[in-house]
Amino acid sequence: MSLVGQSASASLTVTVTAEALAAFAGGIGASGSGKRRPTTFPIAWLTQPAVVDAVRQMATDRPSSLPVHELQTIETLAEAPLDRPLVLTATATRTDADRITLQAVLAEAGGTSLARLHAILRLVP
Amino acid sequence: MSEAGKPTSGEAGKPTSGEAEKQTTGETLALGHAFPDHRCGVVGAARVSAYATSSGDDNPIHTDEATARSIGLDGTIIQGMLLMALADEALAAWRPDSVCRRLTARFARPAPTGSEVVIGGRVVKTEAVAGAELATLRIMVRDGKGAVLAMAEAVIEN
Repeated sequence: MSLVGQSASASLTVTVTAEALAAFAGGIGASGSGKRRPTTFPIAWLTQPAVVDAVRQMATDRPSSLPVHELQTIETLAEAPLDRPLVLTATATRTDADRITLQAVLAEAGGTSLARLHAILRLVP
Repeated sequence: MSEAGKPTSGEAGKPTSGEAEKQTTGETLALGHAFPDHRCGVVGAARVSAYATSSGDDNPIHTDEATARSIGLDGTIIQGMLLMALADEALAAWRPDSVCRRLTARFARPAPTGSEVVIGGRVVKTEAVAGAELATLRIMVRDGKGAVLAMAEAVIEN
C-alpha cells in the first residue's frame, strides 16, 4: 500500500535554556556575543527521536533510504521564553514517491504559537 | 580585510565580522542594498561534527564516508542546516540589531565537507508591516569557487 498522502505526527515537550542556546551557537561556530539568538535553533528539535520516528514511519517502503533536506523554512513569531515547557507538534506527510514534508509548530503550553517550521525531505537513494 | 568591504576568513574556519558589515548597523535598508559577502571559511569535518553534536543532526551522510558513498555521494557533506545557520550568523554579523523573522533555504547541491562557504545577497523587498520595517533578502550560499550551494531568503526586521 502506498504511503503517499499518509501522515504521522509527534508531539513533545521542549525547553529553551541558555546552556542549550550557547551549545548550539558554539556548534555553528558563532561568535557567541549573545546579542541575538540563532534563528535556526528550533530546527534542532526536528532531530528528536519522536520526530525522527514520524519521518521513518513515512519511509517504511524505502528502508535503505535516508532523508535529505531539499528545503527548510523557519518562521519566528515570538521569542520563546527560557526555561519554560513548550510544545512542539510535528507532522510528517509523504507527499510523493520520493519526498516527505515535515510541518512543525512550537507553541507555549497555552497554545500561543512561537515558531513554524517547514521542511521538504527527499529520500535517497 | 582581504579586499575592500569584505571580511577575511577566520582561523580554523571561524567566521569573522568585517568592518563593512558593522557599518550598516542602524542604517535603513533599501531595495537593492547589498548584503556583502561574508566568508565563513572552510567548513571541515571538525565543524560538521561539532554541529552534529550540538544540533542532533547526525545523519551519517555528514559524518561517515562509507554511508555517504552508499547513497551516491562522493563523500560526506555539510549539513544543510549548518549552511542555513551560517547564513543566519552572517546576517547577524552584518545587522546585529536585526531580528530574523523568517528564513528559508533551498539546497541546490551537496556541499562536500571541506568546502569554503561564502554568503552574500541583496535586499529584494522592503515594506512596513504593523509599524515594523521589514526587508526581504535574497541570499546565495556559495562555495569558494562561486558555485551555488543553497539559495536562501530572509525577512529581517530592521
